[in-house]
Amino acid sequence: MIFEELSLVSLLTPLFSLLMILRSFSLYSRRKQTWRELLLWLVIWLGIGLVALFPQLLDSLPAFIGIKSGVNVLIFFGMVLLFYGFFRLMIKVEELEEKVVNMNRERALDAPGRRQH
Amino acid sequence: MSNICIVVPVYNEGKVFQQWLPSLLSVALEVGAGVVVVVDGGEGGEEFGVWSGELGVKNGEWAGCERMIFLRHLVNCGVGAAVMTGIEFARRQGAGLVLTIDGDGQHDPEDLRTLLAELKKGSADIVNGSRFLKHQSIPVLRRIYNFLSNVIVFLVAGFWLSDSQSGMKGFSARALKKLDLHSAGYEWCTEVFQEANWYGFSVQEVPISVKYTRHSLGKGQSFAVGVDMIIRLMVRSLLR
Repeated sequence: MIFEELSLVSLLTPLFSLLMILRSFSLYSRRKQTWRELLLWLVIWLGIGLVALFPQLLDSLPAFIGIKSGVNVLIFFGMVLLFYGFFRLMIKVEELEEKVVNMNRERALDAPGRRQH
Repeated sequence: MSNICIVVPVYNEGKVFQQWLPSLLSVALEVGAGVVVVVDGGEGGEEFGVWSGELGVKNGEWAGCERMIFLRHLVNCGVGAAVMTGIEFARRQGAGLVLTIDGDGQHDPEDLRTLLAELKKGSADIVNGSRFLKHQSIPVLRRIYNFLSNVIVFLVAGFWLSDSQSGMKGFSARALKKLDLHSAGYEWCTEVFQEANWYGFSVQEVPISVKYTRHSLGKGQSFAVGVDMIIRLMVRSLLR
């Protein structure tokens, strides 16, 4: 049975990828994403999901910087966490930036021609 | 009132802006357009009103016949945010056509006439001024950045353009109605075409002149800006 061979990582990662793919389809169906963006995210998340399910896909690449597999898992987890954290931060920054812009815009439109403090 | 509006985002332009303001105003007066200068934070700005007064253009009262108005962002938000503030102002004043031009003096305001003529012909919803349709001196690095940006625009929006990152653009009434840019920085140029793709706007390019100076080269695209743009576009596509 294939499921007996699956580790937690190789089970959760494809599930997460699947969720993200569904989200992309949802955004696309609501016309919030273009088909090109949908395609981009499909390629990214399918790639991540497939590599998690079939890690041997990477075997053709040079051995992952020569570190034994136990450490690989740590590095992999670390990178996933960092990647996730980075995107969360970026999204927060974007949201904050949008709020600042909207605030500035409304002030500028309310009092044209004047320096505002 | 005339329904044409020229939006100029400026940030720390100083004397450079003063130098090319007369040619902008002369075009604006001839075509009967109002000028909205969005001072995007930074130093100075008050002197712009004095300069426009010296040039015989009233500042501050949009209802007057020669119109020029300064909007000020309290802090620097980015060129995309400044352009959208100008567009929003134009929309609230009932403008039917909007033209945008960079504040760093790299464009020739005379080219606004070409964009306006195309918009009036109704041949496109968005007219894009292209610096690469004319044979002129453009730094190699700038050409490379622009080409890479064109590829990105093609991938995300489906339009193959010769100069997607040009700050000189024209918007028809139809485009103006729906345009809702969220990008604060240089990626606004890319977002414009994404929106064009969603709403089915037609896009046309016209050749424009460009004059690079040390001042204008200090602004605009670079490798870091390009990387930032890609990350922001990806994050934005998740935020919707």
